[in-house]
Amino acid sequence: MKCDGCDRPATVHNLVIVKGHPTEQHLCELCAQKAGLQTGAIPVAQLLLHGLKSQSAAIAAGEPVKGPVPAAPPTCPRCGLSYGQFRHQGLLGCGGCYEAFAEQLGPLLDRAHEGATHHTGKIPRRIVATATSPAAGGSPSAAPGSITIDPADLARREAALRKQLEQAVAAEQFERAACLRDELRKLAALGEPGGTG
Amino acid sequence: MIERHQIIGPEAAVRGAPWLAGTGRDADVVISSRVRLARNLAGRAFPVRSTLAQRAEVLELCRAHLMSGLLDQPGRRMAWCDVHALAPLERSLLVERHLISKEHAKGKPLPATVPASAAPAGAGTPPSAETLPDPRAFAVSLPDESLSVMVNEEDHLRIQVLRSGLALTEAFESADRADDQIEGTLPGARAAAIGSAEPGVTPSQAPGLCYAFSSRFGYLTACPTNVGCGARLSVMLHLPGLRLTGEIEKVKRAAKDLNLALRGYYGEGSEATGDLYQVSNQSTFGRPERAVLHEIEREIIPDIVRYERDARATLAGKRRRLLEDQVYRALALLQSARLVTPEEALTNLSLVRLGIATGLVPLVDADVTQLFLLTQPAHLQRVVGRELDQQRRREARADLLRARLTIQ
Repeated sequence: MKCDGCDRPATVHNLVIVKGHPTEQHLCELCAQKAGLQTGAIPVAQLLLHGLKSQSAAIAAGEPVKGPVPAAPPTCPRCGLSYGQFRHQGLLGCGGCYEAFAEQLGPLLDRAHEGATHHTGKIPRRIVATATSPAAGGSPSAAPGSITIDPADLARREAALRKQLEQAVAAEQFERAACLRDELRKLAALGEPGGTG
Repeated sequence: MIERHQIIGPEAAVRGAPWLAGTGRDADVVISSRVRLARNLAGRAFPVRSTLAQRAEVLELCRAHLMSGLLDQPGRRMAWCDVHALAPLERSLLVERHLISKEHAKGKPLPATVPASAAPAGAGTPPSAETLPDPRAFAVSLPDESLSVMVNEEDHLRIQVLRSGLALTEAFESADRADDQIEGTLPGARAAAIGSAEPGVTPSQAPGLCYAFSSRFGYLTACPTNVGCGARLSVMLHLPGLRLTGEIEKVKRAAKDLNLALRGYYGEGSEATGDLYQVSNQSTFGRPERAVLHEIEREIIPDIVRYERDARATLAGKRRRLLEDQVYRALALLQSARLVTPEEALTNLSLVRLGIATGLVPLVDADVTQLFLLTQPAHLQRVVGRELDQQRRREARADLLRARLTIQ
């Protein structure tokens, strides 16, 4: 995510409570220093890796390690990018990295995207076409490179959309609620083979 | 392939950009709306992890597809341009015009002996690794410049639509349609050719493109901050009234409540040169595009527009002397100065524009808005017709402003 004050990446995350109201600040190193914040703060991704590294170092030194022994940081089997390399450059190497680093990316995505865990937006047309094709019956082998939708993901998507719908109605944002109802209808159609995509 | 060393012709450059025409809704406050979709091709490494040969392959695949005529419409066709075929000044022009990003414009120009359209393995002595151009390009719709697609930026494809005024929904629908057209239908589907295709590309040979997508993470992007919808929705606002009444912070808080970022468009920190701000979504993951669209276009922007108009009304009423002083000083400076820096141009043009909106200055708003663009370095040199050093640019900028701001 970007710094509140400029376009650099935000690496300092600060929670300020003013008169009982919490406000989050997301700043880059420079803006944080200007704001007088301690900038020894370690980025979230680094915090995750640090925990892994310190335990690995302890193992190498032959010291007894408390707690479960962690596995070595993962590497993507498709493009060979290691999690450490991702942390350093901030960019993933291929689509496979998302599955390879799913566990580590969870907390990152949580921070960057307000606790979201599941995609609820657009689905590529060819996937919709595959999923709703009466002939294919949702078969994943329909075409090279095509991906089907995991029914568990569909269920989570529906749950997330329903929650957002409740929030929109509670906030009296009825037009936004209507958008969300449309998305739920599309989702219902997706779950039925032969339905409209 | 049609080589384009000057994608934006001199007349078009001098006229300004279509998205600054001031024709859209709420154009007194909302300058423009932009939608950007990030997409990658399935089964291929992202640009940062690809070899040169892999990027070249993606480039050729996208070129064949984007230039097959599927995106052409009556009155508009796509033009393709390899970034490395452009001179640095031309690239800056495109960045200023928001058709490509600063990042995309970086990269070495071709050495003189290598033709623009050559693949690395050409006839004769192959170029050494140091002189091989990084395969990056873009396609843009001409003459309207409303749709541009960058290839091999941070992601394989970055689809962007720009519109004047508050037109985020139209921009989104347009980008969404282009996204569907680029994807095509099932693999092997034949893309329908509407207009004429590039020579050497038969529309019927252009299959759809497969996007990298996961049912949990959505559209897969190189940076996790873009994953999910891959959609960045943003609106550029002109808020001189709120600055003069000291109320910009109020607006920033309102935006933050909805997890939207309000940032100065030029300049860092809280200073927004030219009083130009951008509101955009921070998050692309976990919410459907249209819900985010609705929040920006129907919930936050109308409030900000109202705040700005109220501030302008206050300035024109109870604080008229302050308003007049600010506006007439700015106008007088631009009508008289002989050397003007880019920052001075933006700062003072902003006040002149405020003067037009409050009835103090009898000039055409759209003309003044285009000057925000024409006073920038690359556009200025295109207006003058030659390259200029910094001192000459300051002179030329001053001359242009005096010429355009004379009140008849």
